[in-house]
Amino acid sequence: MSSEVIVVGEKFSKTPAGRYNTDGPYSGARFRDELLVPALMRGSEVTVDLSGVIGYGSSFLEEAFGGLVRLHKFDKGDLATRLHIIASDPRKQCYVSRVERYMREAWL
Amino acid sequence: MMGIRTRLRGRKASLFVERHRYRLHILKVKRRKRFRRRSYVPPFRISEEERPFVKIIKGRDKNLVVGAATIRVSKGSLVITLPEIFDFQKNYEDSARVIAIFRRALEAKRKISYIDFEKLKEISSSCIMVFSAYADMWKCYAPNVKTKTQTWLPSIARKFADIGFFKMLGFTEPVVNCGSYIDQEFMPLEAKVVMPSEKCDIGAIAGGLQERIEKYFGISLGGVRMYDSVTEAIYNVHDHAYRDLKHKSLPFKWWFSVAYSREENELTVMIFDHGLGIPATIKTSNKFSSYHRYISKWSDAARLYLAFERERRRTGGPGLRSLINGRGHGCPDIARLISPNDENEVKESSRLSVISGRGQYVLKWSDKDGRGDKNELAVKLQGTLIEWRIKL
Repeated sequence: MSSEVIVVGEKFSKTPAGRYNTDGPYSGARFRDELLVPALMRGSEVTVDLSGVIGYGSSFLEEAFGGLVRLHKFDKGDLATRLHIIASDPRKQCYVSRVERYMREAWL
Repeated sequence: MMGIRTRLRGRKASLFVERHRYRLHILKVKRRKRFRRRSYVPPFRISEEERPFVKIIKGRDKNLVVGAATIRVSKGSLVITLPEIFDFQKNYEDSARVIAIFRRALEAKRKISYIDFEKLKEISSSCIMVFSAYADMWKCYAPNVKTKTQTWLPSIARKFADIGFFKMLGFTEPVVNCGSYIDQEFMPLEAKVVMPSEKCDIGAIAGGLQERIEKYFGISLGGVRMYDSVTEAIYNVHDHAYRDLKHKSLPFKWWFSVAYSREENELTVMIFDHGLGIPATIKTSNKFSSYHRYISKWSDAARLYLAFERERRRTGGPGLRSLINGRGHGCPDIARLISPNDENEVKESSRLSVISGRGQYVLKWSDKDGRGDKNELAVKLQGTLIEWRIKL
């Protein structure tokens, strides 16, 4: 299985913010629809590196990752095996646990 | 009519009735024209508590003596007096009352002839900000406002000059000499408009903020990370504050300012909007549910507290049901800048204060488990004022 790495700060924006496309040019919904879902659709293993950004608001993270679960395009096991969230920058490590929590809550 | 019928008959009678009808019609038209000419001014009611802060000029135009100068005030206009201590922390009720009067005057489009700063001895950063925000809206209705800054305390005039109050209203900035002591410096007030049909780059606004603050005040913010909290606060304004179009009498704006005290090494970041407020916009998963009915009876303070604390109530508590499509994380994110955690390096005595409607939420760095306090307020502050006091 091929693998793909998405570094948010390099491939998307240094200032991601907002939930929907109406909230700004670098919203969570845009990240999910333009980068995350196409990468997962290609069937590859996807690693999202949360580094390279100034920070994240919960609205962005929740819509990008919690919203991915609510799309119902991928099942729980599939996402657990193929989607990996990391932060190569240790200062962004706190966001990894938050993403995992938002995804867990979305499955409920 | 009996007389008319008996005395006038046939053609003469019908001519008389026609003329009479015509006269009535002319009278009606004249009355309508007179009504149109007189513009309707809704009554401006003042409560007993508000009387020390506002006066309506009755009778004819009058002369108001202000220090050495005389100001002509027109009939029906308002004269607003600021309290001695204009501070939401020390004198909330009077300060909020003055802001409420200012708002009502703007909504009713009443002319404000004069705002008296003479009694003002002390003003907090948040009050300067909220007052300047209303003044920003006021300038749309009152392009020819005059000031008599000679009667102001120099330190207060300096703060207003710093925040850009005079430039905003188109006044010449007063020459202020308050010695070398300045307790607080301000970054000029920034106003942003919420346009429902247009995208707003929240990330770009919040992204460069930390750098701008460092440059403006010549300080280093070190490990303080304000991006997450500021983006969520701005996002809340754009998403919730003006979603109800009932507030269309005043522009859909929000304001942002930063104050810095060198003496205390404390940074105050403030965001204010005059929208619906957090207690009014708190959502539940189903508005017909018993939980929705349950919280709809809560006070503003209790709802505000729920908005900030519901993230921790998820495990089994009613907070779980209050989350819709993953929403409800924004307010805890706003508080994250102050809570002691590994993400932020803010020092002890840092504080968050959120005033919305009749509720206040206060979170101190020293609060155990990051739990804040709620206060029920006697006077409503329309909108939301978020104030982070960051000890560096």
